[in-house]
Amino acid sequence: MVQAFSNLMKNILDGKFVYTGELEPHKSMDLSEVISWAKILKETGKIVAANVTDNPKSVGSISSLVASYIIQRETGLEVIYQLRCSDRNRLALVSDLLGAAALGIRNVLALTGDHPRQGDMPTAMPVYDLDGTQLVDLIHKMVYEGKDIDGNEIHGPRPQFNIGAAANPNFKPLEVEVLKIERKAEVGAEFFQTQVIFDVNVALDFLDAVKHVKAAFLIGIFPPRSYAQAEFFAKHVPGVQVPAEFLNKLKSISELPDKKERRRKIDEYNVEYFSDFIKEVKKKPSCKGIHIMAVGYPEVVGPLIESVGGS
Amino acid sequence: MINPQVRESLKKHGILDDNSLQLYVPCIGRIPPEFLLKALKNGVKKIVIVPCESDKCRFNVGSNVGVFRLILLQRLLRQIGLDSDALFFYRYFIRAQINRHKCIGCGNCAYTCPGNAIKIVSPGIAQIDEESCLGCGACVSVCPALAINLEGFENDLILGAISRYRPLIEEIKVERKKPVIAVFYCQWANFPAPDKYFTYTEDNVIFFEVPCSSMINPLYVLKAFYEGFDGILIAACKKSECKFEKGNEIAEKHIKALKDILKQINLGGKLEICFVAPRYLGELDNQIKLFIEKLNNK
Amino acid sequence: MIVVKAKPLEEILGFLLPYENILVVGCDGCTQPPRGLREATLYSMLIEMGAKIKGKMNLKCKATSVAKQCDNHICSTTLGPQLEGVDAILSLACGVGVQTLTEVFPEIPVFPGQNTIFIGSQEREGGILYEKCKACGECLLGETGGVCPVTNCPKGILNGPCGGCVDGKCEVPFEVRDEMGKVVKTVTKDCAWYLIYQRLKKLNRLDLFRKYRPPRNRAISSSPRLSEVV
Repeated sequence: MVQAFSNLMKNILDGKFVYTGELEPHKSMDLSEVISWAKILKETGKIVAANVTDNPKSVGSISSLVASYIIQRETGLEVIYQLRCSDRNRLALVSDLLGAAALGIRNVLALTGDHPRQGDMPTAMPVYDLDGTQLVDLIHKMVYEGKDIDGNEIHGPRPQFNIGAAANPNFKPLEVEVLKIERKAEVGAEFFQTQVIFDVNVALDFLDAVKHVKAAFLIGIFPPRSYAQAEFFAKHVPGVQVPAEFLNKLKSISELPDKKERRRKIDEYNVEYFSDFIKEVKKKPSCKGIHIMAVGYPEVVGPLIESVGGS
Repeated sequence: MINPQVRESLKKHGILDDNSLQLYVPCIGRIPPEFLLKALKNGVKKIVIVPCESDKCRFNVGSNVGVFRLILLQRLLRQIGLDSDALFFYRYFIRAQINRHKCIGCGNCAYTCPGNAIKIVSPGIAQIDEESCLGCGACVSVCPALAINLEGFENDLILGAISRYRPLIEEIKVERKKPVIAVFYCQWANFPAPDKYFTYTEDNVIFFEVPCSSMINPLYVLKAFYEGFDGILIAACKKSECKFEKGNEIAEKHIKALKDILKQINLGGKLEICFVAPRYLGELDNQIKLFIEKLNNK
Repeated sequence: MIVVKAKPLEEILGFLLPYENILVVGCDGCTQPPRGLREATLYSMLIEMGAKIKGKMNLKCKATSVAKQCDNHICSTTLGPQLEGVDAILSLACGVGVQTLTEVFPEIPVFPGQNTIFIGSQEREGGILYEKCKACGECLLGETGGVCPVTNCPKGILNGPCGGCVDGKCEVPFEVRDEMGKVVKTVTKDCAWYLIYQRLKKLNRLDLFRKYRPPRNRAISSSPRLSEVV
């Protein structure tokens, strides 16, 4: 039985449709910019929690544990602490998780993590003592059995986390992704956030394929700030389908001479396109919410959610 | 020149003796009957022709055509009362042989053989199928245990021949002050005149013939440098003209890898491979000239 | 095969120049490429010539080979008699051979002529050898349809594929290095877990794919390790 420790999970179990955001701190000890974005997200009143990335793309960034704590403390925005296996062995994972529990963090997204060779320190040792699925297992044991993965007792109160994992609806064949999701749910994953989807049919097919899995699915979207960003996804991110109609509309907007006009039109189009998208996927029962990856573009989030309306 | 192995064989059969004059042709199909008749007319008592075995002819039908002509000629000669021994032929073909005591079963020879004639059998020894062996010697150059030899072109024979040149090399360098070059040429890339071992007439170039450029072992190259040669030129057949399909490509790969190692002791530029064909008269001579020029400019 | 790569001659000469009577010892065992008598002879000549270029004229180098350099009995009986006057050995075997010779002949310094890089199969097309076995001590090839995730997956995960599998290919760049260790080119490899899925689907055993695999016992694959001969 899933217990709700976080607002995110409470809302989901109450049947509310949830929105999560994404924050990406960088290679810096200065969190002021990220905190300002977090504030914008908080002020929409509609974002129930936001992810804090862990060494994204294997670029050595400020500890996601520290960033999560500071953001949550400074802004009151509930965080989803992302924890990856690329850089820590199981001891370090246990100690960071106990630390996160002590700091009042209530959501963890368990990831395998990008390989160091893809990042800015490719000579680093890849750890991967555990993979993402085994990390879900570890966290579940800590929360529901008060033990670590080797069976050692945790002294005192058990950590209280709701456990999330990643999913990729763009994977072909979808059967592989479904089997992976089943594995993760079996060992304790309670919610899934998906990779970016632009084509609503991809989202709908995915939600049908996973309707038998007892977990909450949050569909990931990425409203692009510019035609260039959308084009980047279409051309350079393999597997992600960007509908031609979407690209063409953004292209024509990008050809407008006035910068302010362009900005306005893009914001408008993103709201229009994605609110239609969200209204469609909301109809599927396994879809419990949307994960908006508007990194560096928090101002679009409020209007978009408003436009969807309902709850 | 008849290679020593064949010579021994023919001597044993009482076919050859020590008064023999040895000539060499790329294919016996080339020999015009007039030449043989002229030789007999001018006092040669016995002519022995050694054609390749029928299915091993590198020119498809050269051997058979040549043998057919010989048989006809033999009949004619008998009709005019000449001894049937006056014109005699003995089919032969050199093959690779594996010393099973040295073989370590690594499989390099089986992989390289263009005729698919080698198998590695349990418990780990290479075995050659004599029917399929093409006699190119590619297996010889890739054997790490020096366990394979080509009849008449044994490793020890070639290495010995190279080291016998040491005093001559020193003499040429000291007295004539010229660089001494070794040219290893494929028997199909260069056809010397029948009575001469080589065409190039400069005395500081020493020629070594091999049945196929793929046979050239890095060991021969190293030995040549070790004994004092200043430069080594490999003459292989042009692309897609190798009589053993890919022998020249194998040679090219080996030479390239060897140059990389030799670079580390400043000998990289002293080893080169060129691709020539006998139908372009003087092509090999030119390549030799260019190579020597390049060495002199260093 | 144990895959080895020749050390640069510069490094080898660096080891050997302080000595005068060197024996280069090849191995007829399982290195890929093979490093038998022929390689040993080649190296002995290269070293003598290389030493002369560096001004060391009295360095003499001989070559020999041993059936298996990892066997101390074979080494002591067949190599022992050849060591008269030898003051240094260059071994062309894998790291095991170098250490075995050191144990059997402790008075003579033994230097490695190769870098031992991995356990691989004898691939020859295109000349690229791939690591196939990591000697992890917990072979799970029975569950993965014969595809090893420990050597083929850069993350070595047991519940793959991860999010970095795109169109069946692994996102992590696969680097090919030259003998100096410099990256010469990057190649795209198949995703190991995608291959495992395809294999198991073909064998009608998707149950093995779907199965959750708990974390490995890293003590089994961490060095130092030993195993007793029964």
